Amino acid sequence: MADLRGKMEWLPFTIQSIFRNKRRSFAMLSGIALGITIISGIYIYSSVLKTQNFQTVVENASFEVKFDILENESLENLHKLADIVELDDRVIDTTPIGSTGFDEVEVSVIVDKLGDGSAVDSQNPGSSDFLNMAPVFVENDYPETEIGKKFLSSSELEGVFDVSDNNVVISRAIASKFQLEVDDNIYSINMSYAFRERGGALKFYEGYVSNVTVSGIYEFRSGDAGIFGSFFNPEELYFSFDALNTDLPELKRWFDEELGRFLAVKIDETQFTVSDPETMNDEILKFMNYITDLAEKEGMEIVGSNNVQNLLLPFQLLSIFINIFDFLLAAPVVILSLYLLFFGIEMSLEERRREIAIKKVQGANETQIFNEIRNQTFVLFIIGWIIGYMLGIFGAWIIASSIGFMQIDLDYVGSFASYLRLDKTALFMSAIVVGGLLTIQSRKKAKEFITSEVSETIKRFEGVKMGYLRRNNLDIVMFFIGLSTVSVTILEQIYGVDLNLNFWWSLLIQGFGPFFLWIGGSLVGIRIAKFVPLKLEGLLLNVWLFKDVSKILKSTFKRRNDTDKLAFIIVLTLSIATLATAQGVTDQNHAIRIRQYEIGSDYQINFGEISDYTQNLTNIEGVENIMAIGKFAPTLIQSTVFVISGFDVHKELALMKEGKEVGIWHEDAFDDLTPLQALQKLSDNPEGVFISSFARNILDTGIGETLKIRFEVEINATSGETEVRSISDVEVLGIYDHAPGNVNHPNVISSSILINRLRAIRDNTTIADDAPMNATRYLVKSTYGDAITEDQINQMTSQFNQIPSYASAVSLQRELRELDEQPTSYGITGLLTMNFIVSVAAALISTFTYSAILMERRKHEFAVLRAIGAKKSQIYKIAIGENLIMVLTTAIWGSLIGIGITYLFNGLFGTFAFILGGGAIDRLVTFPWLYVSIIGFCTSIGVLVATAVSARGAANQDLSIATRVV
Amino acid sequence: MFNQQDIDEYEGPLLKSTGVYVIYKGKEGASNVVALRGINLEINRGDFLAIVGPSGSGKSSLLRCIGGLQHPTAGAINYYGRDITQVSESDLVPFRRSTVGFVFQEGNLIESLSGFQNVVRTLRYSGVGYSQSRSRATEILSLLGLKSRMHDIPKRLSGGERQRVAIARALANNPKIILADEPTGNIDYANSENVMGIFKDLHRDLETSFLVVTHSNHLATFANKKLELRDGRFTGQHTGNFDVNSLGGSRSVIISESGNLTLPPELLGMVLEYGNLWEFQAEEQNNQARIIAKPSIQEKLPDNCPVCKQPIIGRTQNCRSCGAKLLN
Repeated sequence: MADLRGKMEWLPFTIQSIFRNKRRSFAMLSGIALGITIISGIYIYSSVLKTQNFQTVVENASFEVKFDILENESLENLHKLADIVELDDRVIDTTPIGSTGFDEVEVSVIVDKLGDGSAVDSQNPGSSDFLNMAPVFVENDYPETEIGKKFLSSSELEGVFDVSDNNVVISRAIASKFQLEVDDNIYSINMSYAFRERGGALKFYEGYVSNVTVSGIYEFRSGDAGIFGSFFNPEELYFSFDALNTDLPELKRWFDEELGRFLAVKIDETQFTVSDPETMNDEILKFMNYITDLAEKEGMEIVGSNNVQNLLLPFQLLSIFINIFDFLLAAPVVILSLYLLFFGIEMSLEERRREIAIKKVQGANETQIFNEIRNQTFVLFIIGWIIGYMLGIFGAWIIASSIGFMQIDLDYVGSFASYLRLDKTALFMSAIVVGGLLTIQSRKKAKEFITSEVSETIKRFEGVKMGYLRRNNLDIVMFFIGLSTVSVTILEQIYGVDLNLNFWWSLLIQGFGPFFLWIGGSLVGIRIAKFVPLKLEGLLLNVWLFKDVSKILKSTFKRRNDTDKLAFIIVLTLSIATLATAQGVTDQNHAIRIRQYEIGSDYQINFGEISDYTQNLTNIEGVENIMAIGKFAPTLIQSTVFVISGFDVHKELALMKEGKEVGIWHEDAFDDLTPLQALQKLSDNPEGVFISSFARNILDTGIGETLKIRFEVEINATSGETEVRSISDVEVLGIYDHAPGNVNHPNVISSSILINRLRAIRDNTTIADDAPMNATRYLVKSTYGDAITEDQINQMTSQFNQIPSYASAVSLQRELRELDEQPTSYGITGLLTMNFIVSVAAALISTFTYSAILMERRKHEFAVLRAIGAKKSQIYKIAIGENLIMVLTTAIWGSLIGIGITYLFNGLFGTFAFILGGGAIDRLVTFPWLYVSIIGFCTSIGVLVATAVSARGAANQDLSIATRVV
Repeated sequence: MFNQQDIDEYEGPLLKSTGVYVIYKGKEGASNVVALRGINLEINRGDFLAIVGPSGSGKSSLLRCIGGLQHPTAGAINYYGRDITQVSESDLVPFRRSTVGFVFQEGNLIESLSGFQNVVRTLRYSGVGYSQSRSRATEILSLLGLKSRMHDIPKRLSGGERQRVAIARALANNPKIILADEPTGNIDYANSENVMGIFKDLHRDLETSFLVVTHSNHLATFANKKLELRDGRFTGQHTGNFDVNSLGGSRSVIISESGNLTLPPELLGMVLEYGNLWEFQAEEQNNQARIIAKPSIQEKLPDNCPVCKQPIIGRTQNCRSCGAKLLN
């Protein structure tokens, strides 16, 4: 028994030691917990995001598995296979489908509405409005199957889903392209398909389905998936299998040979691990093998395809990309938490320096002392691990429920319970990272402390060990490198200077610039925190509050080295808090700016056919004014293909002068010109053009130079005859960034605005400047303004819907309201919220801990001061006065560094902007100066309060004890 | 390093230090500080030695070196004939466990542990079993009158109680020698009496050797040998009536084994006026040894200082006006 108690005595001894040394235990525990929180939180969030996205993908898929019969893939055999498959209780439903994989066979659909050749329309693979189409053959009962229901329930459908009797169901895009409506009769739908037989020559087949009635038009909502899943989804036309049998014998034959028909299988997701994509994929593969074996027993050789697997690769790529971005965004707080961890270790060891020496005197050897430190570290790690993981869950929930910077979606509050689960990877990954670093660092530091000579530690006079970077002035070098990258970014982002940096330079600046500025700036902050108080001491010492302690303060300013770490921590943390706040607000504003740019006005209305809809739109109640946006493509300018966009500039200019412009023109829409100046310039120069900076670089041209524009215009719709026209000496009036209504795609294909002449060129007529323009896109300014109600939006939308060839209408206010209610994509603002909370918490925790340790060290000094007559209030004044200027200086410096990092991080956002869907326009940094000032002020107050609280112990101590401690 | 058999068989002194120097490097251009200048010291089993001297004379440095807490700059410190300055830190551990026990002026207790645990840890570090260490700690703390207070943390103990815990901790492993640095410096007279009584009892009953650094007359009177340390050298040994504030009355100067004689400061000031070359003559008179010393060459002093030309008054090595050296 005694043996056992002896063996286990380390545990109560360790726990007692932890509780009796609260300060150092707190320092280390907070470092561990914060590290675990950040790493597990980010992982849990990524995992939740991945699971949620995957569940959405799987839920939206019409079916997960398909089976092909290798020999004689007849409809009858597919039904026979269906009987076998449906015996499995993991299967919900099956249905035979005939469809070509669009990656193997190109299918084009040519619609001849009237059959007389007058309304033939086809897609042109080279054109900008090319539709990727695919026919899908189903049985008449398809709408009743779970697969059909899944598809129908996830789509908005106009008319009915009926493919019997040569009916067809088409997508909204196809309907718009071919100007089709429900119940329209199509004389024929031609299908030509080409494929390369395995190892053979390219073969072409043609067929058609005649006398087809459009029974329904479906419209995918964002994220929905058809037969081919949500990625690279072609526009589908649903036909009956009968059409394949009767009208398309060649296609049927090809289907028979190339396994074009298959049995679609809808599985019961609840019986699979849908929360883990990889596991679910494996389970589906096992299911397929099981069915294959069953079919083989029935004499049927089949091959299965896993639709989930097809979705998995692009999904995984996207997930990896998002994870990288999330990690980059969270990198500062990861570094911060690890710094806090190392800081905690050092503070903890620093505090036990004397204790270690005493133990050595008592006869403890290095191993025994190390084991005690190790045991305490281990117990603290276990406690920190549990606390950190719980906080990590909370952090992940905060990120996921964020609908803006420091804003939580209250509807999401109830979801917290679903986060309360054990994610083994998050749990162990965070433990490995934090535990590993903790072990390495504490071992290294503990050895250093233990092996130092006893006499040094017992009677140690604290000297300041300067870090490698500062010793070699590398902090200044780092800071200036960071500063130059900020200068480059600011020159480009604010002053619009194009430095023509290539990708690698940009990556270098955006990838390393923030860290150089952050770390270098924080280290330089130490120098500043020493220099400024010395320069401003006169100011402080003349303040009446500090008059009675001015002599002591004056002497301490010169000899203080112990606040280096405090200064470093304040700059390090406050800069991140500033970054998080500024980028959080920027992100919210950017989301609004994107929608303003994409929609362009209160409403954006799109039509399937190019025409003049001015009258139709102005007749609608609630419409104040409209602006047509014309597009013309492809257009050749000096051998490069561009899209040209244009609108009624005279009208818009006149409205703008009255403050009633239709478009939402951002101040940065044009380089060096306000929107008013730019429109005026365009109005004054009918032959002028504004080009994008992308176009300027490609065309190697500049403002004031001329261009020659060449384009092909169809002059006879029946014969398809075209004519090449050109206009010369079009002057480049300026550079534009973007224009309302989604005009310009600087990173994909450039557009140029060509004002006034657009219609004249296309129609080859001379038309008055203020003549209405034919277009497919219109921006509408509403009389209701921002206060428009949902009812009014619905009412206006239904009226737009009545206009012939109507395709879609988007309300800006509805989009903005949805934006306010939905968690943001990829948790950017959530991560920034977490950055903010963690950095402020880290600032307060570390300054409190460090202040407490500093005050502990100076207990004797304060006791002596008290013994010679100093009042308690004077002790407080000394403690606060010593830190006041330093804290304020570092708070200002930290905010300035934060501003610099904000600009650099903005560049990083720009690099990732394409995948995040916000790359069309620049992300303008918005500085909430008031918030930043409040944060700086509050943090400073927090540090001073921490100092005062720590000084309390020193001021109230028992003088008889304190004065005799050497 | 030290096994019991070797210790038992060893017949020489318990501790012998030879030519111990400690030099602290001056900071930022300041000159070095020589804390100990060739200290020779011998302590036998059962000795109770007190070292007295003014502040800054090197007492604590000497104690730390002797206790193996600090490496001297030069010299040897032998315990049972083995030099502890030549062994590694890990080899010093068994030495600290079994040979020496420290009592510091401020106690140096681990503040987070109770008095009892402070003693138990010492025993546990030495490999004493769980139960044995607890009973031994109880026994020794009871012996020192701390039975009722032993589970309090040091903060709740009085100065005397803290010091008694420190003594208990130092005695826990039955060390051969207790090194005490101003053990009664922080406690009142009654508690000092207590502590000294404990020391005396231990010295008498267990034959533990003591080396005590002190400023206290009272404490020093307990010692059977009192050495005076000044400027890093032993300048005298005291016997009889002893007053740390007036050491001249009881001092005997020491001639070291190597023949060095360190004169006390007041004597040194006087003799130096007659130059630094002296003739010694030893003789026996009435069965007692006598040494007669006189300056070897009585150089004639000039009438006036060759530098400031002021007249030379009296016998002096340096000009009293300008400080110029008058004799070669």
